[in-house]
Amino acid sequence: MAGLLASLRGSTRPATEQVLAFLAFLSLGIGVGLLLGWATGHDPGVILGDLFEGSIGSSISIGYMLTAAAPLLLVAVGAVICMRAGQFNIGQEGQVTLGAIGAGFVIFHVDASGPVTIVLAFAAAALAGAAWAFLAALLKFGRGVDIVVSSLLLVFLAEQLLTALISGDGPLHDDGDGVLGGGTASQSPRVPEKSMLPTIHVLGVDVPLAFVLALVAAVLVAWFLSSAHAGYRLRILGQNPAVAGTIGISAPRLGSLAVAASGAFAGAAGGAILMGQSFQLNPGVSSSIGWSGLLIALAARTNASVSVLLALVFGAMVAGGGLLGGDGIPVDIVNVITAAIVVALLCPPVLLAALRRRRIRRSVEA
Amino acid sequence: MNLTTDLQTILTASVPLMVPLLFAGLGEYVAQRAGTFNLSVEGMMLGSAFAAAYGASASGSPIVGLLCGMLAGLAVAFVHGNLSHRLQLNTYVVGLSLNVLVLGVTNYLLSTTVLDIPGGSAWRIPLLSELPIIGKAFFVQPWVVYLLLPLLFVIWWVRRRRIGLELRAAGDDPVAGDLTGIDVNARRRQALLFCGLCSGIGGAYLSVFQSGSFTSGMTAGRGYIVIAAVIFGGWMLRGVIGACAVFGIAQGLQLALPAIGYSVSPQLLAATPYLLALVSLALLGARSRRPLALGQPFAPAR
Repeated sequence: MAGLLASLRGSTRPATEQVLAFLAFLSLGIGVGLLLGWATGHDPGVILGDLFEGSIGSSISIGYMLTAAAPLLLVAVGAVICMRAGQFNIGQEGQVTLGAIGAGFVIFHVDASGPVTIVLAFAAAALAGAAWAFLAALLKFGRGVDIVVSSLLLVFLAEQLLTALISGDGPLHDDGDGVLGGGTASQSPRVPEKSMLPTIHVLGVDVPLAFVLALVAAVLVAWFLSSAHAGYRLRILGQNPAVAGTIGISAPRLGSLAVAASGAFAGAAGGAILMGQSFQLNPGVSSSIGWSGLLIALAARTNASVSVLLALVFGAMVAGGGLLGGDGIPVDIVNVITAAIVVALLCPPVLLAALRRRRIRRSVEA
Repeated sequence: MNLTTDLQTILTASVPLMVPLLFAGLGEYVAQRAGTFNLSVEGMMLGSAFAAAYGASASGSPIVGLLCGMLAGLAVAFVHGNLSHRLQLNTYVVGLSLNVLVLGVTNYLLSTTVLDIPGGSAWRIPLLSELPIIGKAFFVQPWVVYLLLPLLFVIWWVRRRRIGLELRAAGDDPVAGDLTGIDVNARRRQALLFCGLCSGIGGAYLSVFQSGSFTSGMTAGRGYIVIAAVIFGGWMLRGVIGACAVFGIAQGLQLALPAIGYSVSPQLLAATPYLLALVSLALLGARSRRPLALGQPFAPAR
């Protein structure tokens, strides 16, 4: 598993080549998505125009983009932590769901002022996400169950748990308050205005609080992994568990901590979704943000700063997608583009490794 | 209410739900034995369900639909195989990204096409379909279902040939396999293609033969249930078949129990396959016959 995860990174210098390859394959992915649009009779120029207009066209659309990017970045940052520690937790989608549930319990059942509710809701969300991820770690280190499998299975359990809680007699169900036809759908009440996440006005843009938190988290995690002693131990565990064992790093302890931390970030993302985007719990509240965030971290080769960039690109797609419908273009093209980006971004290391081999062969032969 | 009719209701509801799991499960079993932890089985099923629906709708023939479905499954398998067993990319990452890609592409194409899928009729096997309890459930089904038998035969036959041994070697000890002259990565790609073919039939069954329609994300995690079934079945053929049957029944109960007059939380029933898999994994721990090199990339020395 260590070799497998190391293959995700691959430190191929020089850096310019890496950046160029990254940008080239990023554009390739976008190009493939546009190609599909073109093949089905939609002008790629219009699609691109809408995506730009809807994401960075005005200060309002920048706000939309940042709102969409925030939970993605939170999930990705968490995924970076556990991947670096060699723990292949892929259950972020479920951990996001649990986070939304945790935040929901605070919002709908705790009577407190706005700011207090928000802080408590974030805490509950992180705790719930961490607990769900910890289950997978417990199965791995306690019973030897592959964490890929256990974290994946927990995603589907989380989905059913959420549906059970918001339907029928569930504690988060919206009973409709006597509104005609209310109370039948599986959904929670709406988040009261006082618990909606505020925005911070910066340079004419209303920056959502969730994005600020996510950005701070990304910076802290990048610093932690590169410079902190504990982060160093985490990386050793990920790169070489045997060495980690001999220098006294306890894989079960540090590994579960890393998995729980990744779950906490995913959970916080769930809270951010509930309080900043959906404002209501419904069966699809996580809307694949857990999967996307995980893929961002993987496509960014578990690098926190590249994750920020990719989260912004994905956020731009989500925000820009809103305009596509107006031009008669199905919004789903956005998901094609983001998925094509992820697949394309898997390729640069292979290319760079081949280039490096060739360079070495040349220098040996010369 | 008597037991016979209750059992018949449950079985009749469950068998159609078992079928796609069985098709994809057989494929995933082969892929995993050859060492690929194939997460893209979900994408294979979804892509082929759409391709089959599209093919059947465009041509008016379910057979063309089935062929399109198999092709789509093969296409996903081809991409996965080349990315992870030629370029040595992380198979989990490739699988997850392909699933998202297929979901996006099918959703997009669905919104640009109108589907009109021709209905197929069920085969009523003489005599056997008259049997009590199991007759209606097992022997009055669309013809595609009976493709399971030749498929099973192929797997059973392959297992006792050299190729079967080579496939297992690719999954258990690729280094030793490589030393004895087996092209490990080629075997893994072939196993994946077989998985694509099987999942293709499963996907086609889902859209064309079972429901007669294609809806967004219609596989709804069936691919992941299949993966759970292979693990729950302990990577053994009869275990995998049994697990698919159990998971199919768990899904069927969701439909059958209200009809019989029991009320159980639908969410609990929907969660049953996953719970079963998790609990059995936790109890079995490392005692199963997990292929030793499952999920590990193999780069032959040059």
